[in-house]
Formats: sequence, C-alpha cells, structure tokens
Amino acid sequence: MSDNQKEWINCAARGDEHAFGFLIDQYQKPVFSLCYRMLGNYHDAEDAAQESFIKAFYHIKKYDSNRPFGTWLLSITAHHCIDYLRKRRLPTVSIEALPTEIIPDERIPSPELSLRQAEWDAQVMNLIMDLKPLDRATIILRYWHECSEVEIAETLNLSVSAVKSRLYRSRQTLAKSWLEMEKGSMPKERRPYESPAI
Amino acid sequence: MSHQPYEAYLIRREPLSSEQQHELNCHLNECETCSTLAGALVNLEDVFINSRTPEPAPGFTQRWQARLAGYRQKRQNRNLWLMTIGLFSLAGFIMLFLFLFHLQNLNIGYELSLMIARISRFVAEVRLSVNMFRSITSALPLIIPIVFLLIASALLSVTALTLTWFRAIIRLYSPIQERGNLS
Repeated sequence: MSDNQKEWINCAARGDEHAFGFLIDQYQKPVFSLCYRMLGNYHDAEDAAQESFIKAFYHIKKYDSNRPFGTWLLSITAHHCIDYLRKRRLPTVSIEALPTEIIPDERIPSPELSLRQAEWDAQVMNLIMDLKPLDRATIILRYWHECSEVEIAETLNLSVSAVKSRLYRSRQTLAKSWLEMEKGSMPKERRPYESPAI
Repeated sequence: MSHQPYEAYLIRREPLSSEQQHELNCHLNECETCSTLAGALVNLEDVFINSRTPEPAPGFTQRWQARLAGYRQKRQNRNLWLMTIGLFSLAGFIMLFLFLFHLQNLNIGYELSLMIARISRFVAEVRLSVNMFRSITSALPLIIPIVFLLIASALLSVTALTLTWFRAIIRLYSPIQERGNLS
C-alpha cells in the first residue's frame, strides 16, 4: 500500500469525503466490474458500486490496515451484491437485454470483432448467471480479479476448503452449461427435402 | 467407464505429478466424455479471458459524492425522527411509571373519586362563570344606555390609535437623536 493511500484512508476515517474520493478513483473499476458480473446489468451495477463505496466510507474505521484495502473493499462489494441478489431473488438475466447494455469499447475498431466480443460477453453473463450468488462471486474473484483461494476466502468470509469446493462445483456447472450451449448452437441435421445451401 | 479421478483432475486445475498427468492423458485418449469436458473447460477459460472488463461511466466519483450528500440528509432526518420518537417514548414511560407508582402507594378508589369530584367541581365553576357572563352581557344595555356604550368604545378606539401614532413618531425620531449624540 502506498503512503498516499494510507494518508487517504486516515483522512477518510476522519470523515474527509474528498480523500475517500481519491480511493474511489483508484478502485472504481474493480468494484464496478465485480458488481456488473454479479448483477448482470449496468444500472444495478452502478447502484451497487455506489452503495458499496458508501458502506465502505461509513465503516472505514473498522478497516484493518494489515489487510490489503482492495480485498476489504471487494469483500464489502461482494457481500452487498450477494445480499441484493438474495433480496431480489431473480436468478437469471434477460439475454436479449445484454447486447444493448454492453459498453462500447473504442479500442476495438472492427465491427466483426466488436460483435464477437459482444457475443463472448453475452455468453459469459449467461453462463455465470446460472450459478448461485456465492459461487458466482467465487468464480468472478478467481478469474477476473485473479484472487488466490486464500484471498477469496478472506474476501467472502469462507474457509479455504469451502472456496475450493465452491470453485469445483462452479466449474462443473459452468462446463455442463457450456456443453449444453454448444449442443444448442450446433446446426441441426438437414432434412431430406431441404437444399444444402440452407 | 469410471471418470474418476480424471474428472476431478480436470476440474480442480491443480498441478499434477508426472504419473498422474500420464494417466490423465491416456484416459483422455480413450474417454470421449472426459475429453469433451477438458475441451469445455479450456473454452470456458478462453471466453473468460477474452471478455471485456466493464467500466463505470465517467464522473463516478462526482455521482458518489452527490449520493453521499443525499444519504447523509436521509440519515439526519431518520435520526431526528428516531430521537423524537425516543423522547416521546421516554416521556410516556416515565408518566406510566409515575402513574403506576402513584397507584401502588395510594388507595385507588379514593383517588378516583377525588379526581371525579375535582373534575365535576371544575365543570360546575366553568358553567357558573359562563352563566354569570351571559347575564351581565344581557343586563348591560338595560343598566347603561346604548349611546353611552358607543361613545365609550369610540373614545377608546381614538385613544388606542393616538397612542399607536405617538409610538410610531417616537420610534422614527429615536435614531436621529442617537446619531446627534454620537457626533
């Protein structure tokens, strides 16, 4: 942790919201990304990320400086999203709604690539939305936040063995869903009267 | 054909010994289910890696600050409400306590009859006063001529207006006097 960050945390603990603003600038992307992947849409992700930062601001005095600040923040965010999902009790997201909510990326100039990217994103969201909230959080932290099993355990208040079993179960479910999806997208056998061009 | 422990090897993604790796490779060559699973897991990771990292719209921190201000306001209002409710509850509790304490120490029947007697006495006094006022107002025109009453009320009004006028003049004059004293 940098000295600047320590100073910002100390100031924020004294109620300085501008100092906390610097921390938001630094951590908004991982927090937002976690919310987006957990909740599946941009609007809810923005809401959840904002709320998570408010929670963090009001509880920053409880933050243990021996722990990485990012992990602590992600822990608050993950729990907030899990609670939100439990209250909402809507396990899936509309696949039709996904392409319209994908953020345009200027780094990808080609429309074909962009379309492919959008397809990938939709596939990912579709796959992870089948998982239970806690399993989803485990997978997201493992793959997109590159957290180790110990870090995931700290973030989600689980034991390392629980994280391992959740990862195992989630990978199994994801692989199953992937295979089903592949089966579904396979071209159907041509009927005898159909033209080969079709 | 048994898929264990090969399925577990594939899903766990943990480093394997050379012997385990060899066994797994042999099994994958023979078992279509496990080789499909291995392919699916590789594809999954590929899709995960290639998916974009979503980013918030610009101005996230400013939006957060505005939200915090709203949140603080809401919290303040809630605290005010809680404090009011708490104070009223406390007052109610104290009153109830005193009432119960009072009831415990004294004779309930006696206190109740005393309270009823006091209330009825108060009501009787009020009724008496009202009747007295009514009889005076009805008798007043008979005792004092109506013209005299009109003159008296007109004089009183003129006096009140004059006094108000004098007061206004004094108030207007006083700053000038103070300025004169200062110079």
